[in-house]
Amino acid sequence: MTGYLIRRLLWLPPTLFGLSLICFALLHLAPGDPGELLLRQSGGPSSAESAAQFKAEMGLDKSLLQRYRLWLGRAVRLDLGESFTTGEPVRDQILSRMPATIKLALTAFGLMLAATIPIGLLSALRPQGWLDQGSRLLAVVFASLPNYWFGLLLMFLFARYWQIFNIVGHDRPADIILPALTLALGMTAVQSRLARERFLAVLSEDYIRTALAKGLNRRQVFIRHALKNALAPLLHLWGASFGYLLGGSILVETVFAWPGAARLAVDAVLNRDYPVVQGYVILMALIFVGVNLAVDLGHALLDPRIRQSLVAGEK
Amino acid sequence: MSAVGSLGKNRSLTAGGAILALLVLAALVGPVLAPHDPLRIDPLHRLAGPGGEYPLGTDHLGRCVCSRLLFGARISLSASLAVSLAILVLGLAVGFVAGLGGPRTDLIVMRLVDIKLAFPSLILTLAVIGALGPSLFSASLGIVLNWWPVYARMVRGLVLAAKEKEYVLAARVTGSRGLKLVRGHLLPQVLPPALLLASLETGSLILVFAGLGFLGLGVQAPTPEWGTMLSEARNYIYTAPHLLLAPGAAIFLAVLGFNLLGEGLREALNLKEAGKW
Repeated sequence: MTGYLIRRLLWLPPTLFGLSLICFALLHLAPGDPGELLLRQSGGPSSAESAAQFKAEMGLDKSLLQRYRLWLGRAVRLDLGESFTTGEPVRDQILSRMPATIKLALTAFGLMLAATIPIGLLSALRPQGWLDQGSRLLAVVFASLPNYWFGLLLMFLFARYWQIFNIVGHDRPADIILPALTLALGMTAVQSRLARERFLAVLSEDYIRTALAKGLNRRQVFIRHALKNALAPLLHLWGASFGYLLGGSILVETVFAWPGAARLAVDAVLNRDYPVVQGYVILMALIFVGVNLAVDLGHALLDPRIRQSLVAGEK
Repeated sequence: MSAVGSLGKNRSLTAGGAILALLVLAALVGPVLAPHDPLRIDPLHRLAGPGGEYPLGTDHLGRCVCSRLLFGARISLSASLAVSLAILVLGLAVGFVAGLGGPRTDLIVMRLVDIKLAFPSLILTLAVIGALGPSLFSASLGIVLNWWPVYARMVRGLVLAAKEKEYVLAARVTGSRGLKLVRGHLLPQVLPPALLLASLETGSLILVFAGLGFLGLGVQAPTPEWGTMLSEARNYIYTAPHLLLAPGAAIFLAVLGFNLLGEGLREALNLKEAGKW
């Protein structure tokens, strides 16, 4: 099992290499000469001579491989260049917007967990019961509901009709409720069904039957045995869902004018501000890779079989 | 499976099929049904409520919402189906190469698939659109480039399983090679589950597609498309909130139709595990 962890860590360099290729290609293989584009964006002269000088300055006259090496050298130091539109360093611009995105994603994640575990467990305890049937129906409906539409409807109802939340504000703690709810909705629908299946699988295990047979309290059995054992496989699903939350934030931030990094990236795409788009993609991909690595390591620690073999291996 | 369960699956299949039939009909005969030209501007009747000359009202430029909705059905459905087909073809091609190309090719291809799956799809789609500039084409390309690995992985698994079946071995022994083997013996095994996956995924493709339109990164104005209509309606959320209803409901119904159909098919074919790619 230590082998598993080593394999998991060895898998990291090729993944990051793949990411670097994708991001490099995004900036350098885009149609149109980036040098000319950059000059045009900055409003500078576009004579052939100044374009050539500019290209030399930016290293655009070098071969693709040399450019990749140069780019990678800067990228690992998180030097992602300057924004075409504002001239500010991309890193600072994105990092200043990251807290809002992370806050939104984590709140939505918390909401999802708070709903998923009880719904999954309760519908697994009574398969085909009213909660199970109801949550199944709701799962199909909510998974089909465009979250951008749901967000707009929420915004209209709450902010305008009932005047409860302020839609344009993002300073008060309550302002995060509607965006987070919108972001969590579709995910919760899917995840609660997956959780139900995991719980069902665990509840049919022999050790649950043994625990019940020896007269343990039902509630204790479910919480101490079922929940604990279903947790490890669920962890993987939750890690994967974090990527959907990050992706979903692109839409939700736009709907609610949430001042996060995703909205910055959408504006950058619309303005052809390549360095900002690239910086956003790199950062989000790194977060996602990091979360999944943490999930795999966490799984290894949660599962006593893996944990013990690790301890044994260290002796 | 209990009686209630089997009744339920029939219901999903029927409901999904009915919704989709309605939408396909709308897309096909929409131009005949549409009361107006979807691009015609009527400055005197901007943001009009439903009823009268304009059954679903007009948008901020005085264009007929009902006509735009009907024309939008063509774009949303045809684009999603085209993208779905492209993903299917790419996935089949890569899956067959991995499944038939020998262990080394298999290893390399599947590692590439793993690398791709290590990154969130919507964010990489944004990257592709960022590189090419927002348009219907770059949105479609972005989706195709990011959604194929799931198909490739499934096809490869099916090919590996089918390859060991006795009649395939027999065909190989009697000299079937290459394309002949694929077309005659392997494809009939692989295609049905791949098509099922495609029908399951088309719903989420519509969702992504309209979402990109909503962000202004997909279909460009003034072409009528549900996501773009929704993003235009967003600016009039207080003055004309009814504009939100029709395009959003259309997206929701289309996605629901495909999801119900997929759910129904999956249970009818008893492929419970199939949903967990």
